Amino acid sequence: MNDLPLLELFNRLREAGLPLGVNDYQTLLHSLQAGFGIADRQALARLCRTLWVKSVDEERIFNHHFNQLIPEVIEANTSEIFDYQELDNTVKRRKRVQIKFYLILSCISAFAIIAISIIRKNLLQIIANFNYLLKLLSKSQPQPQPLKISIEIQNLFKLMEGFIIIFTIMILILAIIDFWKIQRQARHNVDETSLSPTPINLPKSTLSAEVIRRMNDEVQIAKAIIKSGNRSKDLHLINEYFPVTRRQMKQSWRYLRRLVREGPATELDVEATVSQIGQQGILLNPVLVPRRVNRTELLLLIDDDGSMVPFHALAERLVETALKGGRLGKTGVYYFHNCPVDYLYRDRTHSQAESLKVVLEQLIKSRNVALIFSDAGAARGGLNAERIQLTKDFLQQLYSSVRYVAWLNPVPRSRWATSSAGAIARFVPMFEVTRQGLDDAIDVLRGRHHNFTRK
Amino acid sequence: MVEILNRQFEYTGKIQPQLGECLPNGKLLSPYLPGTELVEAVNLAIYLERPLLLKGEPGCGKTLLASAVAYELSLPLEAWYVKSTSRARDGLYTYDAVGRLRDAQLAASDRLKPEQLQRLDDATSYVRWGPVGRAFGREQRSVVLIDEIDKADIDFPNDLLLELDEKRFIVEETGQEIEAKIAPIVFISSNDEKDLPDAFLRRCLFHYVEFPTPERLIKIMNALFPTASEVLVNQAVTRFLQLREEMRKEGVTGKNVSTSELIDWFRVLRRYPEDEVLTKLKGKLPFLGVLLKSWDDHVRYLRQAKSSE
Repeated sequence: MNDLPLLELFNRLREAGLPLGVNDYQTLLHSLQAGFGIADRQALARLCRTLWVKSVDEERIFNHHFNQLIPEVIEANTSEIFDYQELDNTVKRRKRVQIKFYLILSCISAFAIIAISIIRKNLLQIIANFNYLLKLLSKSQPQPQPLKISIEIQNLFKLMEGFIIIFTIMILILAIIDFWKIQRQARHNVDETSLSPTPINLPKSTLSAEVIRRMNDEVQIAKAIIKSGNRSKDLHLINEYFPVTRRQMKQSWRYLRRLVREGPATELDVEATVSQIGQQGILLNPVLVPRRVNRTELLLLIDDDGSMVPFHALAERLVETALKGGRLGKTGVYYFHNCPVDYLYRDRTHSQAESLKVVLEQLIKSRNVALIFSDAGAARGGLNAERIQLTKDFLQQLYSSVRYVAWLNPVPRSRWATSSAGAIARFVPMFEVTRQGLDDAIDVLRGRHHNFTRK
Repeated sequence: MVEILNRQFEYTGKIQPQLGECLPNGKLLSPYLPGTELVEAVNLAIYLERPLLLKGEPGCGKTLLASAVAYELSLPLEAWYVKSTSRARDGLYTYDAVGRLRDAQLAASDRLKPEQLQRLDDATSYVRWGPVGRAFGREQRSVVLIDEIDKADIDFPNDLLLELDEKRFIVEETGQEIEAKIAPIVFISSNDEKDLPDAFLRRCLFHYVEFPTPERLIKIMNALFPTASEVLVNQAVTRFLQLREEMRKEGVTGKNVSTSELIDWFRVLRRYPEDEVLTKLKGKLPFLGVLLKSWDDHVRYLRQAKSSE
């Protein structure tokens, strides 16, 4: 069954967290059989994208896997051949130019050697002749000094000859070095061109950090499940902590709602209308009621400093899913450090401060619920009396302006008892960040019964 | 493949309405030039009988695609513009319970004509079909557009699963089961304001409508304004793309200018003599209000224009 087309790609995408089912794979086969996406690689990618990818983020994941599994072979080949030829041509052209240059140089030097030796020989002859003439002329007179310059000139010419020979040798050496260089560069270029159309023509960096994060955690969860199935005692060091996936968070948020009939009366209440007719004996006017809308407004308070730094990604995800995935009436997100005192901040960098009093005054108690995301001192451990007192005061303030409060603690429950978190958990329902914990926290925010009594 | 495509409808994106051609209801038709990828996605959706979910920048032609497809294949178009108060059932049918009640009252006091009485006896006559309901009821294939699905409640798409999947629904008031005689071609557009549920996404094909390339943008403008001179179109498109690029570089968080703004802007430009417009286009952009929709963008642009002078 391994010859099923694109099964590997399909499996990888599933592993990366794309919500695909067997049905989606069948659709692909169906479309392929109908002649879609068989023209070339691009067409195939387009087909798969249209069928399997549902958002821009998923498209990046898809591109990454598609390029890894189905490298650009056909297109790359043609361009490679073209490149090779182009490269070959340039190398040949350069070689030819070099050869011409060195040929001319060596010709000149050879010519110079020949010329100098001829001139030397001729010069010797001339000098000899000259000396002989002198002898003839001075037969009657006393013996004159024969020409001595000849020897010096001879030496000079010999020197020149030697120099030119050395020059030629140097040129030869240079020529050899040059050729070697060209050859090496050509080989290097060839290597490069054969390397450049690597399977990943999409650089990894184009996968946004967000997507990678999402991929990672979905894969991690899948791995964790597989691992726990195999050998439960295996411990793995995971660099990021994602106990709840994005999808699970979205699903949980959806439960946070309190439907209230509010706004203009637009919906016909059939039962009320019928009973009204029963009472009045005739239809005077239909009974209309407002539509049910979600009136829950969420105040999300996030601790993001110091010991909470490792949970930034988790907090971001909580915020994002609450804003986009939930069906909440309104969501206010504020940040604080350790414990909110006097001010809350609208942003991570703590630059837009808002007075805690003002924020709380704006809330409508009948609608608002508050969710706090903080470790309550459990990450660092140890009891901090001041922090406990501050938190207690803050919670009292908060309880007076919202309906329900829940606390999510990203640090496992086992660490709470030995730290301030244990004490704080007595004032407010506190939950671990797990699927169960998140669902429980949302149950509390919905006002469902919870075995918690405030002290 | 040929045989299949003969049997199927195939969209090419090449058949365009003539300028000034109108729909029977008087709505002016305009040419629509889709990219090849979009054409492929449309054909795939037609073949697989699955809804095609279109996402993309606002103003890049998600909504117009449906009418273009309907025009080329000469099919009736059923548009359903979703509002924040829309419910899934509104697209299928609405039941005029009040009307029926009124008729019953009138019948009791003998004030109905015989044909009205007949209507009263037939419970199904109080059903008013929505766009999807109408499309299902037709003998002929039709194009259905569900526009801006993300505006409705997040449960809205989930309530449409059965209808889109099995192409049937039940009118609860009368118990009628309506099954599509022939599956309509469904386009769904979303502006990504809310995430759509996975179960819904699974049933859709997805296509991201890209902003057109400069060449296609010029083609679009030429198709829309066949009488405009080439110089003017080129100049306007170049300036427009410059602005778009600048806004992108500035990291505009709001809306970037898109095709629909370009078309509006050009329409304004065309009201003035050509040479006047050309000189205007060389300096500060004229009629900025058509292009830039937020005060921040305005201020940013003016600041840039000043610094470049």
